[in-house]
Amino acid sequence: MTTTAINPPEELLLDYAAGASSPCMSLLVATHLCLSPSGRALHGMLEEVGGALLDSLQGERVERVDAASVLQRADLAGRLPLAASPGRPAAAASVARQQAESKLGCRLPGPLWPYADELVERRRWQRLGPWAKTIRLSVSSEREAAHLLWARAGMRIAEHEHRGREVALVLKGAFWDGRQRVGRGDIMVHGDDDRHAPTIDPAEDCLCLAVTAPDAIHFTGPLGWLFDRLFRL
Amino acid sequence: MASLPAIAPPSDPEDLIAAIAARRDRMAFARLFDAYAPKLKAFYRRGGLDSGTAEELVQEVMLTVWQRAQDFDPRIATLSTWLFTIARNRRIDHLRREQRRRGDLTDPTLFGEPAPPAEAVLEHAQSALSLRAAIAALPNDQAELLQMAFFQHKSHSLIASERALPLGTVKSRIRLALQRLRDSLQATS
Repeated sequence: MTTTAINPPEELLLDYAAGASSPCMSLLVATHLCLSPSGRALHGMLEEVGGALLDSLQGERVERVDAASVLQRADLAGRLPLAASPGRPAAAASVARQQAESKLGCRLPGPLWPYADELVERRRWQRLGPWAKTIRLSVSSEREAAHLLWARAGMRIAEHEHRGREVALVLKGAFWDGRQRVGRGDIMVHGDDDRHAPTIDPAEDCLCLAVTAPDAIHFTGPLGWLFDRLFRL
Repeated sequence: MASLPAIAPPSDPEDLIAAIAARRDRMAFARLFDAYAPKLKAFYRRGGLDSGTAEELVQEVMLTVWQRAQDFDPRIATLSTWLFTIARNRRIDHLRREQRRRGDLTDPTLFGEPAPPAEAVLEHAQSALSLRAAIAALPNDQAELLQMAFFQHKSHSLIASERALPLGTVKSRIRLALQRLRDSLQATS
């Protein structure tokens, strides 16, 4: 399979609209939708397909619950005092978000807000040489991992090979992959045995959200073994 | 399983939801429940849930409908689409709870509400109708793929491996299907 840039990535959006995405892919697609009007339009249509399919179903008799039991539950919930919010005060969350945004130099799309705390923790970032760094987000997933990747404007990423799927979404800046420019909101899908050495656009630092199968990436250049050890994706 | 009956969206239920939003109309809610709870149960049963669990989730969906009726915006989506998104999200929550019970505690707080409001792509009932007609007219292999995704919540790669189809074949069927649906919308606008 060769490198493909897909905008919008239809099968990924279908999985997401149908509720079939893995946790990591859900995060990536939800973030993409924040950045891409055409993605949102397609997503709206896909949800409408879901609604039409729901309508097309032959109903099944509901035996143990009815409208009265739902209203009873609603009345009960209405009488209970509002439970204290389990999260932190909104102000603290918003401070963490602002810190993360100023560190990364871009607005964080909503789906990434829950990770603001970890993004500002310096020790969670792993350096990949002087011009790039990465952080693994705490999304629970057995089969995949979600990382943010930051790279300095104009740098060339060492050539590497994909041995499994990698899906990358650009949050800030852009990179060149062969002749294609992949910019903010764009998604790049790399398949098996796909070798490439992307170059970061010189205008701006680049930040990507990448979802990979564990051990999907292997560096192939002269220092590949070293990058492999540094860059445990 | 593959061919899909063309069913017009009931227009009446949108009046019911408006009555619930405007004056907490319990009769309207009862009628809405009767219209949709059986379909919602069938939706969950097609996704492999047992009858008891399916009804629990139906109850949660209908409770959300009662509590958040004022959030329904007919300019953004039809009522069945709104119900579908609530039902889908409840199912995701349910699966997460199950996973936690199995001991997976490194929990992220993923999408609370999944997407930002979609652009109002389907403002008119007319386009919802033509979308339904286009779904009903899809070739069997494409219709089946949409059903496996939306009812059984199978990702395109899982569908490919279960059906022993090359991944590229599944992707191209998805693209063909979506292209037909898009064309049907453009023809009406």
